[in-house]
Amino acid sequence: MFSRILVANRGEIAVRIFRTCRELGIATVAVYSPADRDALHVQQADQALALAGSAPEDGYLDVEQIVVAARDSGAQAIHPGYGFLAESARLAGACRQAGLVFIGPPARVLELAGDKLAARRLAREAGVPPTAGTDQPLADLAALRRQASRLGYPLLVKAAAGGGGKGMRRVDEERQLEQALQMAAGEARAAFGDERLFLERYRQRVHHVEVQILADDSGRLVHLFERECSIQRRHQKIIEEAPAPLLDDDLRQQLCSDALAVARAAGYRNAGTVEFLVDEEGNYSFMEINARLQVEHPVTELLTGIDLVEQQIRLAAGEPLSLAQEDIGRRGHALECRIYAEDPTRDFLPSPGTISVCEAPAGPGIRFDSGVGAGSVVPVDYDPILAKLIVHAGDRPRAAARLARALDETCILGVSTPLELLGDIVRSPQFLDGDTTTDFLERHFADWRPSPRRLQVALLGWLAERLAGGETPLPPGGDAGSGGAGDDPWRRLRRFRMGGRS
Amino acid sequence: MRDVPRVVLADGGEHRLEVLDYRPAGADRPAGIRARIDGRQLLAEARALGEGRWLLSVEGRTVLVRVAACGHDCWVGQGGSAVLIRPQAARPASAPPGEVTPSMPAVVVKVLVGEGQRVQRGQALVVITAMKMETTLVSPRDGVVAAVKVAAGDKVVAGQVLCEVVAEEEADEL
Repeated sequence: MFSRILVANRGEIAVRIFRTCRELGIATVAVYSPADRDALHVQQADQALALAGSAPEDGYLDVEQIVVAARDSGAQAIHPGYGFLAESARLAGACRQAGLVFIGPPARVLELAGDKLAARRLAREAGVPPTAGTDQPLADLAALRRQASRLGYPLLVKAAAGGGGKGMRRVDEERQLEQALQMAAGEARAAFGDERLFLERYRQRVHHVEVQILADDSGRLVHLFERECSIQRRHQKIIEEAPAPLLDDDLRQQLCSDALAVARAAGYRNAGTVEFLVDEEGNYSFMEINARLQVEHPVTELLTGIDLVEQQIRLAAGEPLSLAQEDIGRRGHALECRIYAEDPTRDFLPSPGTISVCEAPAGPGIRFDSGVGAGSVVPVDYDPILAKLIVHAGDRPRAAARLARALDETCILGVSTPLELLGDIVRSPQFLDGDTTTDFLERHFADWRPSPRRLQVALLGWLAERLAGGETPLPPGGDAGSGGAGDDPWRRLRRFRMGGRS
Repeated sequence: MRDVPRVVLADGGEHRLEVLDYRPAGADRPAGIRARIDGRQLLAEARALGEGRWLLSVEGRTVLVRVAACGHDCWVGQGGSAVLIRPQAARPASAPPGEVTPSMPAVVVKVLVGEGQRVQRGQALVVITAMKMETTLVSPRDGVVAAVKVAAGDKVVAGQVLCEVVAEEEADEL
């Protein structure tokens, strides 16, 4: 087992990995860019090393610097988290050369999973049909156009090397195709250095369901059941849960064994996720393999009681799987929501800034994985995820009620967050009915606005603070006639109980 | 002594406030506020808990509210929601039409126009990126680009003028 691990990441995921390391008695090393000097993950590690780079992202994406930092710190292994270099075959290879262990699958698996076209072919060969689309990269526009009309619109243009919604465009009609292809190719070239594209049929009423798997060095595999991650904005998940509400036991069994078949065909090692699209009738198709720890891994941890980061570390250290499939059980229901610094009233525009208040929820069944605290600066340079709120309860309705309650206890000031929208979603009848398709937000919350009632209370609180600070109220304007002399408002107010529930 | 602003921006809209009565907190009683917000009269009792925390009683319901100043603006949080309140008086006069500014700190990816170029309302002028998301800023009017004040790679702040578009008549005077 390792005695020291470097985490090549930042934010909530770095903090989360440190927690498991500490529980296992493993010393932790953080790395940080100049913009992150005062970040929470730097404070939470036993040791922190600065990364250089002119652009703030450079450091976290710099394989050489990170390998050098690991060696300088005496770490034996590197955990890449998610994003940045998490699925980098180059980092995995460089670790191997430097005598370090990459906590994740080996380079050959990363290369295979990272090439979505190769993964589609692999799944097909393993007997798991991929989503309707093209299996070969398409060279010229004419060929793409032909394929597109064969598939039918709407469709998705996707980058073979894509991920996180980059290099992905939805195309509703043929005349949009050319521009979408150009933009997707440009994004893919910039983000991945690989502009190969393919097409996939875009389906409206589908559920995104993924299966968590673990594999040891001998190739023994287990699954940890599924997660449903259908509630998305801009192709990015915001609410995830396990189990998936629409699966019955037969379908769950099929899906999990198909996920294992794909992973086995890929020669998978360590932790990974096989993603599927499932329609209302229970038909499903393979989408992709994610060769990393997923953002939403905590729902599986709460459902199964298994620490996935611990499993990753043990498997990377060469330990055989300690879990037999029949030992892995499910209990109750887990829900997660992601708290991003973004403004849901302005099309989820990122909202950087400085956090002045950060109060986490507490109580039974609550987990709050956060990368920020009061005083944290949310820089403009990175993915705006601040924290994840995960809850566990006996069944789905109780988990939803618990999540709503926990959201109400959460207070983050200084940047915009979607807390209120998330609360409204998990209280909505559509969510409670399990109508969780990938177009959920467009269908049910496209016109969502914050509650005017809450705004009134906020304005009264703001007035209380200013008036107590000695500011004078301007005399009422000409139309302020009501509430005259005979009416003593304070007498009425005194009937209100302070501190009690209404 | 400063006056309480009467118009604020919050939740993407303008809101009008009038304080009709104010009773400061006493030894044994919370502060009382009677205010009209967007035409609706509301009564509140407010007990200060320190550090910007208030226990408000409004129409029979008690809510814990946190107030955190942010420059001229102020964040107010309560039970799973937060709102940024921006006093109108404290802001500079609203940006004159023609100035193109980002609404958040960002990095300039591309400048798509040059000075002197004729542009149409809605035409893309500058592409910025913040937190891995690109946004295109467009011309607020038909006219001529009078000034381009940034280049690709520049870090910019919210409200900074990136370029200016003036009406063609004005451009002739320049």
